[in-house]
Amino acid sequence: MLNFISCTWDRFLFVRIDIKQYAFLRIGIGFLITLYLINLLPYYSVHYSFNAWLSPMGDLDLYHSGSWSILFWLQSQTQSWYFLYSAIACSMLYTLGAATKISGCCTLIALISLWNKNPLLLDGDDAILRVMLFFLLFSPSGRVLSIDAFFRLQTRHSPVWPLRMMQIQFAFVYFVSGWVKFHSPEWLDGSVLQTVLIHPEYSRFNLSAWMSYEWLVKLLGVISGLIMWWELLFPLLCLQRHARFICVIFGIIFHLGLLLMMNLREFSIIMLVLYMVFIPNRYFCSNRSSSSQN
Amino acid sequence: MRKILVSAFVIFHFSAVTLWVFWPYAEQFSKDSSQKTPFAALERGVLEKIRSLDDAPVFRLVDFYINTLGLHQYWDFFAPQTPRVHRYLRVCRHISLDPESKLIACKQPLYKSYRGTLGDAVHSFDGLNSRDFRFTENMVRLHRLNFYEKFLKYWHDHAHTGSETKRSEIYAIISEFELQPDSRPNSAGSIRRDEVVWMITP
Repeated sequence: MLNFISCTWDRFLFVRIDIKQYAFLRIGIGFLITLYLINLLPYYSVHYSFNAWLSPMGDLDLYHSGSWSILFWLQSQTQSWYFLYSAIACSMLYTLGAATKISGCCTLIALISLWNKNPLLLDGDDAILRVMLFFLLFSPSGRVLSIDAFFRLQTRHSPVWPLRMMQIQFAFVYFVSGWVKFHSPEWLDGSVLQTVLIHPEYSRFNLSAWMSYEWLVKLLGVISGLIMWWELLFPLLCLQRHARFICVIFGIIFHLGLLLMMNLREFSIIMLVLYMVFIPNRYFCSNRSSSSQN
Repeated sequence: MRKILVSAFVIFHFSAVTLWVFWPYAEQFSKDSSQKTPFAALERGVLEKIRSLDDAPVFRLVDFYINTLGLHQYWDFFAPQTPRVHRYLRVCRHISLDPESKLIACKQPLYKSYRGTLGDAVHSFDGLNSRDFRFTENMVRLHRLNFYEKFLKYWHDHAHTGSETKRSEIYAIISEFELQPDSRPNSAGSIRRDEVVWMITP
């Protein structure tokens, strides 16, 4: 019995996979972080720079904010702009796979610094990029499809555990979101999507005129119930291959729907890119017949 | 040895994240008898267990780990408690109050977190103004007067440098309007309200 558990654990965390999957994730996440940092430019001066409305030493005292930030140590407005430009440069280098570990670590430090300086205008998409980058730094994602690969001997395979951490984190996000929804009266009575779809910030189109159709209101109630159960059961469904496939397809449709209907910045695109963690590794292998299982 | 270390790290990491993520809900949900989750009894037990760890060294260790590595995560923002009203923040110099409607007109706006025109809002795919919306949402939820004061001071010091601005009062106004599923938001029938939450005088 002990031997069985040990073997299962070993296979779960230490089976070797083709590292192209990590490389594709690096390119996707790196690109999205670059885009995210560029999109933060219009807000930087007011919320993050040396002259920002919060004092340079940081005076937030929130449960969700951290204790350190490079932005706390900077001494001038010019320095704080150099910081942001360096962060954008690092994320670009990381995407290209140049000095991947160093550029990845610098990008992560920049993301944490921004969050710790002022998380008041940041959201779930910011958090998920930061957390996924943290996991990806444990993988040899710069060994292929990168500038680094020109200068060093390529490794084809690596242990699966960083990918597993990303998969567990992904399932955890859905589980907590689903669980919280079960505590919300609007989600429980199915009225939440009606309000969301007429919300002037959340909704991409004004659908208030459509809410007079009873069939639509009923349909939205059913969809909200489906979303709650899908999210809550996501970790369980991912354990079985066929259920995982259905679950992932549902997720892709869900996020495409969000992208079309809701105004959530890059959130849906981030989640769709991150679904790459559930693509079986054999699809990333150059020689599929010799690939290891995932 | 490497495998043991990796296994220990994976187990520690997800235990820490789980504890950190669920801790804020422990107080909120553990005594909630109206909860409807399919496993309410199990949930209550787990949350009470987490609450009991409040001052334990293990929780301090978790807090240190999460804070140092910047792994803060709270996924309830993927389950918004959709408000029945929409709020936005304005920073204004020179205001006037309509005595009948009690609405505040902003004559020289310095900042406005909502830029849409409500009846025909179609957002572009950049979604940039959602940052302002998130910011307002947090400011209203926290309702820390020192935050309003600092924010106003920023606009007072940086938005305009003219001597007139320096001498005039600046106001932070929270405006809200009711979202009605059966009619257009901000329509004539929806309830609107403006409130000055802070002001600074020269």
